[in-house]
Amino acid sequence: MSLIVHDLTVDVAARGRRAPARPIVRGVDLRVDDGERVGLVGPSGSGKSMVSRAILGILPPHLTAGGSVLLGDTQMIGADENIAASMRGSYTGAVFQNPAAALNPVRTVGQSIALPLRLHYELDRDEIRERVLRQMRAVELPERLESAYPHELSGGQRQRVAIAAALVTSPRLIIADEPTTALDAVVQRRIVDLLVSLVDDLGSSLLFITHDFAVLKRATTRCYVMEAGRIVEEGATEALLHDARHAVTQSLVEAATALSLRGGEEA
Amino acid sequence: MTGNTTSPSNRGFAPRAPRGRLRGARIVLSSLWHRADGAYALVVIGLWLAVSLVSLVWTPHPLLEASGRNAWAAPSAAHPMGTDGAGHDLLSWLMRGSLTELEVVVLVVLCTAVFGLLGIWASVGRRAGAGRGSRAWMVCVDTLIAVPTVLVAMLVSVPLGTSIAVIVVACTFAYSLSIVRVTRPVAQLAATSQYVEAARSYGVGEARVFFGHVVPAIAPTMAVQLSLSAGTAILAESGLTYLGIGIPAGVPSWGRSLANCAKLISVYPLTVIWPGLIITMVVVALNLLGDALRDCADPVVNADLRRDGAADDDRSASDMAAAESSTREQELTGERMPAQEGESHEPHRA
Ligand SMILES: Nc1ncnc2c1ncn2[C@@H]1O[C@H](COP(=O)(O)OP(=O)(O)OP(=O)(O)O)[C@@H](O)[C@H]1O
Ligand SMILES: [Mg+2]
Repeated sequence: MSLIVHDLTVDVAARGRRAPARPIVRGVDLRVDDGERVGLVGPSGSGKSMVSRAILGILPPHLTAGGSVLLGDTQMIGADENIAASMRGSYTGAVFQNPAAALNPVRTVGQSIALPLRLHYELDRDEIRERVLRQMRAVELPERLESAYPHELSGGQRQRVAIAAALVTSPRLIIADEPTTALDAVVQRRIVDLLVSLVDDLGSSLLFITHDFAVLKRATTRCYVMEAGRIVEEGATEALLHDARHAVTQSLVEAATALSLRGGEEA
Repeated sequence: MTGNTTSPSNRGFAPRAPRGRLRGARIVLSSLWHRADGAYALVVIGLWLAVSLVSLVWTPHPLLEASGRNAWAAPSAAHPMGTDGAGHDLLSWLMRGSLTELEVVVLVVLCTAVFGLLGIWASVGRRAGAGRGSRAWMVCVDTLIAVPTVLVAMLVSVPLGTSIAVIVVACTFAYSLSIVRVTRPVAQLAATSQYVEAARSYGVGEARVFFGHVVPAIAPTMAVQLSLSAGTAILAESGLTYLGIGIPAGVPSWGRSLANCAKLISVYPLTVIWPGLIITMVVVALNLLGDALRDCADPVVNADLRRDGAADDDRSASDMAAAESSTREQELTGERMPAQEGESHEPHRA
């Protein structure tokens, strides 16, 4: 499913005289075509997470979004909450930054993965269970963890659960907001590869948010660079790696190179 | 987008199998039973319920049987706890009183839970609780908490007269406000947590976020608070009844018996022991129940709740560790199962 974002703005609502309205995202344009894997990269605090929340319509209550976000043919900005909620989880799936916090501590792995299915589809218990187990196999989680609670899992396993829950309804657009930041390098690579292969199998689109070009290179073909709430550069990921124009992009590429790419080639 | 023609339905949760719920309740009860405080609470509360039921059909003496000659009688075979100033059999009155007490406690706990949840909704609900509104509401709560419960009771007793409603209204007022105060930080934490954000990203609506994520998060604190409320409601009943604005004169209750017996406490001090003892035992039981319940009903604390049926009963930490390391191993060796079966991954859109 294609995603077309045009002139997206996010503002913090004014709270009295001492805290006037403050812009967080300024006029962001981006598009993700059907089946495409696109990156959104930028330094910490540049507003990447806000863009992803605005696309999904789940901004915190004191933030307001403006502009246009087209998911397929549905306008998400200013959409009726019921329509927006029925899009979320069925046509879009989201994986967030911190796997430890993204799972409800008092729900089992099975319950967490089943949640989007139960919300959007009329399935009986056995069908739900079968789907959950199939999804657990797809993300390489042992079946016996179905009744485990999040605190009994490792970080990598938790992120697999979050991915399973995001993908269990076969959404057409997956938004991954730094899904691997909290993980160590080896697990990080495995999770990114897993996510990419699952997304490709579904034929869905992916918007992959990160500040790490090394990860971006594995996951995306094209990317946007964001700084201080604006898109400052865009292009093919490979091309940007070798030929970054903007200072922010250069510093991000340099950081990734110094850390893991070792002179532009994969370690 | 493939599924454009058939949009997914927004159905409610599939009803959980009662089997699962019952199993959970049974596990909680048995964990309670295996702790000293839980067992004490269960025994005392069980006795209380049993005596209330029995008193409906039988008491050792009819409640209205009284004779002036028999007033302030010492315990005897006919009157095991003696009689009060009107010659009523104290045991019979205390037995029937436990039914009134049960009514008070159930009503107070129910109303407190409902109004407490409403108050929490007002402080963390998305539309209601954004920013300023929420802070104004908390200032309001803090102010109202400062109003003495006795004052509230006296005020509502003007229109309501002497009745059980006075106790219920006054207690609900005080306890639901303190529940809001005490649970708000936890509720706020849950409402703004990443798992709620994740749930919202799956399409969970506002009401379901509240009941599915915020309420379970505050449930342990609520359990403790509600059980404290139950105990305090009994104390409030005896206090307000003594003041003459609680339970009306002809109706048996523990507070009523206490008030009757206390009239001549300097002459017959032993009679007050019985209602006093019962009130203390039950209030202690209710307080202990809250503490024990918090530990036993929380799946993160109570490992038994996490076990999945009898077959898995011996699943242990080592098994978990094995599961963990096998995933790790795969990660390290880079071997991977086929990511997806060949069959279609598309769920049946309903
Ligand atoms: N709830 C909020 N209310 C007001 N401002 C916020 C809120 N959350 C974030 N911000 C501000 O919005 C800006 C963008 O935040 P955002 O979380 O989108 O950054 P990010 O690009 O995702 O950074 P990171 O890589 O660290 O996750 C930051 O300057 C932050 O201070
Ligand atoms: Mg972020």
